[in-house]
Amino acid sequence: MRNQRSTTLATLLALIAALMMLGGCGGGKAVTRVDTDTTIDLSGRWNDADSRLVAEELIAQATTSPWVENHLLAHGKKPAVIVGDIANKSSEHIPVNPFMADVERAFINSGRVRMVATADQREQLRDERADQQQYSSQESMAQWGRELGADYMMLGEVNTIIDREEGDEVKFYQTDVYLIDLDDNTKVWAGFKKIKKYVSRSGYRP
Amino acid sequence: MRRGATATAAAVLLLLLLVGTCLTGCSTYVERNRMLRTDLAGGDFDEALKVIEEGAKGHDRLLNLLERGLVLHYADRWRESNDVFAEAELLAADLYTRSVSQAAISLVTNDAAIDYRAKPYELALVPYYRSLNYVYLGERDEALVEARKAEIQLREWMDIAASEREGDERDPVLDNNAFLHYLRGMLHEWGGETNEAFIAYRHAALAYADAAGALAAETPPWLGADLLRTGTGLGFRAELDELRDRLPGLLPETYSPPGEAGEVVLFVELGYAPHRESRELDLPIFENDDFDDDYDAWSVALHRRYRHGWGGRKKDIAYWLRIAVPELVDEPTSVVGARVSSGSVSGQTRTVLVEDVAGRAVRRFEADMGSIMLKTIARALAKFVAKEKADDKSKLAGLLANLVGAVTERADTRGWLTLPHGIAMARLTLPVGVYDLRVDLVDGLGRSVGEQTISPVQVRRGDWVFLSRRVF
Repeated sequence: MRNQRSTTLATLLALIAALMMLGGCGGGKAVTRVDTDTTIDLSGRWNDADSRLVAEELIAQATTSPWVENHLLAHGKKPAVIVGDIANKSSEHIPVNPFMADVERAFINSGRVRMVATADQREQLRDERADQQQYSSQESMAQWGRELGADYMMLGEVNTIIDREEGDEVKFYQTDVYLIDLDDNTKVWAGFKKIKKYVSRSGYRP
Repeated sequence: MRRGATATAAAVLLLLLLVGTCLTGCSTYVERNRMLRTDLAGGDFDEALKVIEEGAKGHDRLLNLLERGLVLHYADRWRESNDVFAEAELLAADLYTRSVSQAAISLVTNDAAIDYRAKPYELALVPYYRSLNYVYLGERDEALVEARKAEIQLREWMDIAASEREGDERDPVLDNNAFLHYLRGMLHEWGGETNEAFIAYRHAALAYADAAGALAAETPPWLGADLLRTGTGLGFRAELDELRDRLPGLLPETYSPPGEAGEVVLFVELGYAPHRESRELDLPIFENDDFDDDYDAWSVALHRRYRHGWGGRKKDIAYWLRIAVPELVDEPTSVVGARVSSGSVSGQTRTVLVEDVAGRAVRRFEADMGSIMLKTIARALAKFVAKEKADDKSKLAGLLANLVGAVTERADTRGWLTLPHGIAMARLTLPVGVYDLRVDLVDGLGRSVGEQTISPVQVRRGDWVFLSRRVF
């Protein structure tokens, strides 16, 4: 009986000690390379998979829409597009540049659309052009006043609706992008992508 | 016999291991970060970050992130500050899941064995600091994200607070945060989101009214005009009439449409929030203390021992009882506000206390005290039972069990130490131009105790300028 008790005590203390040790120990670090198309959800927040899904959907919608053909028929030349502001009106810090860069790249590579540099890029280009006026040879320097004016501006926004109760959370993201005619403000194309996530957290862990 | 001896040896060894582990890590959070406040007040941010790094312990990870985020904010390292605060928010969300093993360990050690989950009044200030960081970085859209996040978090904290409290009675101090509503209202209005701004202002007005008398903070005198301006702009007549009924005197008589001027908002963060200290009660139980179930006799004897000590008594100690409970230390601030002047005729005002962090800390502490005492008593009993069990084995094992129990007994003093005692605010509506803001700091008697100049402050038409200063 005495032996049994002391063994129980030793076991109890061993358990406590082990738990204390485990509590203070890090699990080490492991790095694994994965395919960029792999979806890995950790926190439930906006991540690379969401960005990829939005880009894929917008590209698919933009390339199947007849807006390019309509422009060609009306003007006889490829439409020139500029990417404007994609406003983040969500409750998360969402980087919009990655998926907009994907959309822009798809437009350029399709060969059907001419993409004009963004406002920030144009500033850099103008600085370089100004520099060339002073330091480059007459034959090689870029000329002022030959920039291509865009026919359409791409504008959009990302919105979220969040619902939480205790450990459960439903997140709804909606990305809307429009191509707007710079002459008359008409919207010639509207693309969207909706994403819904359910994040569940248990109340207890071991 | 041999098995029993082995088990006893193992028990003793493990007890020693526990003692060793605890002796190296049994200082309280406040003790480990004693110099943090001094370094921050002295503007020595690198040293403050070093103190946080050195005092970092596994279960205090969230606190370390919060302290680090705030020190980086004051060091004007806004991007890093936001990264650290973002990590803190993720961790705070993960800590929704409680650890059963940590809870078990805390029963035989102390509450510091449990991961620190920040209090809602602490987390409420993360969007405030993060939005200021984005303002200083010139990223208005991201500051607006913080305003939206704040709204969701406020709703969540209200739900949590309500579920944790018994009964249906609301506590305006713990359930809501008027300042955060007001801040997000101003941010929304700055971002042109007038509808959201009006809703936030309305929430703020109701929350300030609810907490009136319970907190030192008062309804900002600009809030009524904010409501009238945004509400009128949106055509919300019915909503404004409802506010006039519910909160008489809040809305001004006359409506001032937005003019050529711009808004300057200055937050003055005052002193340090109250912090918790560990108070230990040490009482020996002697071998000849034989009161059986006579609790009155136990109470009298132990109380006498506590008040008058036990020196000179040549008696064998049967058990060393140590109980540790937290005590809230609230030190008044030397600066209570400021007079702010822009040098123009209309550009003078006084700050108003818009967020009473100390008041919330006190109320939170009072609300927590019941469960803290319950856990302290349960822990004392668990430790006593462990000692009794060990006594059955040998006197040495019992002695060690008692020693471990006493050494590990510490109150949980954790809390965000670098938070201010309160936040005062001044608001100036100024014509377009560049200004030097003179901030005359005042004490409780209205005497000037220091002066700061903020310059240059560029005011643009219809634009908002957000500024903040920390004073000690």
